[in-house]
Amino acid sequence: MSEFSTFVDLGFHHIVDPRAFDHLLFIITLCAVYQVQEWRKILILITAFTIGHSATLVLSGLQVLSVPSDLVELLIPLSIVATSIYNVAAKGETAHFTTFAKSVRWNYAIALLFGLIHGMGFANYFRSLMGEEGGFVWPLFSFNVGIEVGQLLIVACFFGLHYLLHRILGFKHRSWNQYVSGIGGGGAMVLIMQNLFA
Amino acid sequence: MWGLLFLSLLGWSRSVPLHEFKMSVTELIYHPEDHHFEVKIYLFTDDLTEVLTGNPSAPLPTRVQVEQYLQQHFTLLIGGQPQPLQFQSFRQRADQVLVQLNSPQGTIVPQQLEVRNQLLTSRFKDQTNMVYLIVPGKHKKTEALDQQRWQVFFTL
Repeated sequence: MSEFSTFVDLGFHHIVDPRAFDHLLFIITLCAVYQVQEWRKILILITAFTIGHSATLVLSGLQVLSVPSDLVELLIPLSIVATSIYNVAAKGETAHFTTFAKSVRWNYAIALLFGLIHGMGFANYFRSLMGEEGGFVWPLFSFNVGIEVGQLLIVACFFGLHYLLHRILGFKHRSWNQYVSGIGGGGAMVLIMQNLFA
Repeated sequence: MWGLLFLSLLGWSRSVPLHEFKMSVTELIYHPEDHHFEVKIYLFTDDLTEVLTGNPSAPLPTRVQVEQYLQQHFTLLIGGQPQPLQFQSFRQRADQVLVQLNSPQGTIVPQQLEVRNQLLTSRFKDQTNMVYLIVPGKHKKTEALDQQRWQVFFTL
């Protein structure tokens, strides 16, 4: 395998690996409040998250930014809990807002902010892959490409399932939002407890 | 909503381990001035102590223990012949240990070399062992090995 494909593969598997489910959990919780027809909002939301995590992944990879991994491992599940609480409060009723309505713009800002936190988590993993010799700009870029591909796959599967349940089986979007947010919040609380008491 | 949240908590608290990754890094660096490979191996200290003593919090293993472990689980082969790697140093660096080994001087840059790396894989099934080959004037080569794929051939 080339260096590029090796790091794309590592980035991809890092985000889709169910054993490292915190990022996966965040992405599905972030998307839970939206429906397929709100694809413009979803696109902007995912782009904001991507800009956020790419920024801190690069800064941490270049050793400009350094945050203790224990703190990052706590902030990541907290970001999931905060998102799930917001989702339940929003009741899955974002469809009537325009793409750039004030409350929706706030969601994008939050996705960007939480992206910064998750990027530090990606960076902790990335650093453990690297030694001291040779450049790491290309591996860093390749690793980020892998993360983006994995992220897009998760979003596509998530909304595919949503479409199936909502349009074909008549599952209410509001219930979907609550179920997914419950799974996200519950899983994140387990992670918080493990971090605090392990 | 809250019922599901509770079920998530109950289910995952029993089944999901804390998110952590099992990783090692090996750099094979060719030194053309005296024709030898320097081998640098980075291992997480707690993983190494767990494998060698059964307890991740145990004191750092001795140099002899580490040397014996590496001899059994890491091999560099040139022309199909295992290279006698000389133990140079062993030191702690943040949460990792760095082990440095050298191949004999006079090693000619081979067309192909082989690495067999089974470091920590017997204990951790999700262990990933990164291997980098760095030869001046050539592109750096990278491989990610694991429990199933623990052997790699590099062609220069």
